[in-house]
Amino acid sequence: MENAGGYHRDIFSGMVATELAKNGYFGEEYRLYGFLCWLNNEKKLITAEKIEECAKIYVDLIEQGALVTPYINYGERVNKPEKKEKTMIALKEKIYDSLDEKYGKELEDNITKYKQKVINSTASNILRDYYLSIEAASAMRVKVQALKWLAGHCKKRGLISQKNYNCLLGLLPKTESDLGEYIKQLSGFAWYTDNRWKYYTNAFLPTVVEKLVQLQKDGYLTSGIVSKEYNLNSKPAYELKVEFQEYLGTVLDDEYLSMVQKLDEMFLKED
Amino acid sequence: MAKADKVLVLGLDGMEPLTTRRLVDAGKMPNTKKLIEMGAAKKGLEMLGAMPTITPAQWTTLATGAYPGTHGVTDFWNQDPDSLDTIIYGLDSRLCQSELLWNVTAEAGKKTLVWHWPGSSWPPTSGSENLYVVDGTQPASPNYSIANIDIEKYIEASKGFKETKFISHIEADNLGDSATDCVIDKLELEGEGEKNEFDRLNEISDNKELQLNRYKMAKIKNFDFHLGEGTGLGMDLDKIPYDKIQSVISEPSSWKIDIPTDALEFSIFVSGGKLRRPCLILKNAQGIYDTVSVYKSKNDDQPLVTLTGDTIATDILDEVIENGEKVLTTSFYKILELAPDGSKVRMWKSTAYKVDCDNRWSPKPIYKDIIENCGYVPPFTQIGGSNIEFSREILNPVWRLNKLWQARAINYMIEEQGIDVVFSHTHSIDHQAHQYWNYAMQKEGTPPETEFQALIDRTYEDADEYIGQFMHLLDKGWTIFITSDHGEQIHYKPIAKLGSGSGVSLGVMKDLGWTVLKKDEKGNELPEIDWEKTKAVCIRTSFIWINLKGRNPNGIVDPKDKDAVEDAIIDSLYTYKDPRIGERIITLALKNRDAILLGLDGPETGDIIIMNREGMVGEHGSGLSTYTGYYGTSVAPIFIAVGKGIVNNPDLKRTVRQVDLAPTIAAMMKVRMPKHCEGAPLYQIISDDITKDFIE
Repeated sequence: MENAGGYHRDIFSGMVATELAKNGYFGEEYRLYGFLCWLNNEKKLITAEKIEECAKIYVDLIEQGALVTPYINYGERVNKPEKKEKTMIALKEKIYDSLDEKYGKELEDNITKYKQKVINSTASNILRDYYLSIEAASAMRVKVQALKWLAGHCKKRGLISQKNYNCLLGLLPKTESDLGEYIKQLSGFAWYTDNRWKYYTNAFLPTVVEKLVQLQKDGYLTSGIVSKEYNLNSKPAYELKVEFQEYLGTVLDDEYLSMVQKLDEMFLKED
Repeated sequence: MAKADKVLVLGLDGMEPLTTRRLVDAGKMPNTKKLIEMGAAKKGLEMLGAMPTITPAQWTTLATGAYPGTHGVTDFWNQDPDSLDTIIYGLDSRLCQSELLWNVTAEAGKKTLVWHWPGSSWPPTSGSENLYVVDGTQPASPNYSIANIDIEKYIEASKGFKETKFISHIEADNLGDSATDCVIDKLELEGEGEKNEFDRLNEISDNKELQLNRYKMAKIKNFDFHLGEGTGLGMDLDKIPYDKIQSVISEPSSWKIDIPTDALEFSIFVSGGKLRRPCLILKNAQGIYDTVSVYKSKNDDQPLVTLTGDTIATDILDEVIENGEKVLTTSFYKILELAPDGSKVRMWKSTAYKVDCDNRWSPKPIYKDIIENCGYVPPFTQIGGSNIEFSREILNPVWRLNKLWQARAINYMIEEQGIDVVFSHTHSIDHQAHQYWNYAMQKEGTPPETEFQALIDRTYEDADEYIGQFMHLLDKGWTIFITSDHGEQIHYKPIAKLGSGSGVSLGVMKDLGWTVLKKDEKGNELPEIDWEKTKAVCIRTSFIWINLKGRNPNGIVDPKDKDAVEDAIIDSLYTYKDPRIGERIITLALKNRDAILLGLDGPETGDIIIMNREGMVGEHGSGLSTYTGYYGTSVAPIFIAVGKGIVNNPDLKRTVRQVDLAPTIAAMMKVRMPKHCEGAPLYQIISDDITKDFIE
């Protein structure tokens, strides 16, 4: 702090805050995010320290056909980094207890319900027909994520077999990013309201997931989540949103959205 | 039942009523004009501020409805209870002894956002999941104290230079053309011993009592000798370091990409001079050099940034080395001058802010949510001062961009996270005021005062643009309060050498013999107080402590003499004449018990509270909230209320006090009053259906 001579108090207070922070003066907020999931006849607690990581795992597991509860979080501000491990263990226990209390029974009921389903070919046929209707390989590449989501949804409900699920995913081309180390991602989905589909887009996946979960909870029909990566140095997200929404429109086109409705009607009947 | 469901407090640090009124009447602040016409305010737009007119104390008053003597945050620094010449860091919510309104609203189920409020906001003091807090550890700008890892740079490139040089701010006095005298003459942040004690406390427990005592670890000793005109109270913000780069412009060589044959090149340095970034100067279709592209290396296809005209390029990502590792940062760039023949370039690059930096955001995910959707946190600039080019071309427009980003972020939180209540602060006006307001009254060797006066007006027009970003909320049933902690005046006499921004004030107190310094063998004064001869010290902005036996470790004043010594000090201050102008320097001096009149009694202030005389105070701080200055400026804070539940009364007759804001909001939202609130709801601006409700 010897070089602080001449600084105004507004600036100097910031310099002092910097020094204090280095010594842990303000403490550190540790937070853990988690949800319960049932996949391949196994129930698991999934946790992550970063919400982005949690949201990504959440979406991946849905695409794999997992039954999931919403994710929740708990945090605590502590003063010593050494206390992190102990804090995290306690937060994990708290998350499990809370999830079990809030969603445990509903999850068990759904597991029982979906286990009893008899697989028929209707869902597979709907997905297959849509797949076959996509002619160009380029179109297929952008529609991959949207199909994965629906396949996972059908698998979760016991409406398509593991074999058919694997088969469908095997047909989908792999997508790889060549954007380098620093990327940003926009995500979105469609939701049905007032007799029409609307798009929701955001550059932070957890916000997209939370919005989707909330809309589903409120009874709205939604598509799956679609994402696209951009170079980090490209336009700011609030300017990219318009461009991404156009992309979303090509992935979640009328044909796809009518398939979502068709499947939903089937789910309702099945339920 | 009528009530205000959604409340936005737009806090603009330093915004004052006289300048606002002038510019509103001149049609230069159309959004503010509309709010005044629709809402309620005094004709002069003023509010009576709490005292001292210092940022953390006043923002805490606005948030608690309590006076500084009650909430205990009495300056940027609080007094170290163990040592009269030592101060402790004050922007710490754990020091606040009064309940904060945002804790009340959050705990009442309202999603509440506290945005960079420099008074008792950090760390968050409620565990409510409805509370969202952004920084607040310093007044400058979000993340300033934590993200800034490479200082800003002034770049000159010329064909005339013989060699390319990086001149670090550490090695040379790159302090701006108008640097004023150093005012902090000795400063010490206490070291290892304290740190060990701090660690020991942490190891024992995290209990509340110990946490409250943790502030004692942040001890600062600083002596203000008042050597120049500055007093540490405001004049010295233009003395700011930056790295300087001098670079040779030459024919391009060794580029691995195709570049125009007539391009020229030079280099800049980032990361404290450790990393070189090649730049190209490019011609336009008319054959004039008008573009500079900055590359990460000569192998890269794409530049980091392409600069043309006088636009500031924002959100420029680059790597900086921190602790031996490459860290992703974001910066701003701007061309200040580019010779049409490419022979000269002058440029500015902002500080580099670390992108991965969520420690001052609670809960942490809101940081990433905001930067991903609204853009990166804008770097804070300290360049400006009497250099009109820096102030006009860098400082002012950077603040404008900062505010627009902030508006985007707050609106995003409202729309996407369903925020119901916002307590927000921007330091734009205050920071610019400390940088150049002073030069809006002609000083020798500086540009014409009218140029700075025009810049003051532009700052207010920018503030109006910022306010305009929230007008749409009125159509959605929001209630909006425009307010500030204090105003900013232009002093028109020499600043009194009594009171200090960041430590012990030696000027007048030493002249009067109340504070005595130790001397070396040759009789030269040492920066150390001679406690055996010192009867009193003036420390921080407005406080004098008696060196009292039994209370202070080296006390020499007997408690039975305390009252008489206080009287003698007060007498001496009233009769003291500033030798430069032969005038009295204080407006008032009060004993602690009498300072209850100002809300400045109690253990966190001083034995004597002083208010310096009008005209002899910096932009704000050591004087009364009612002072006015040159160019129609004033120290008073502003108050305008508009929206749901507010009556239309643009000529409010009652006095609006700073302590009234929190209870007014509480009453309008029908949440309980903050526990230690001393103000009262502004009944005269609240619609009848609400007042009727709470009277019943």
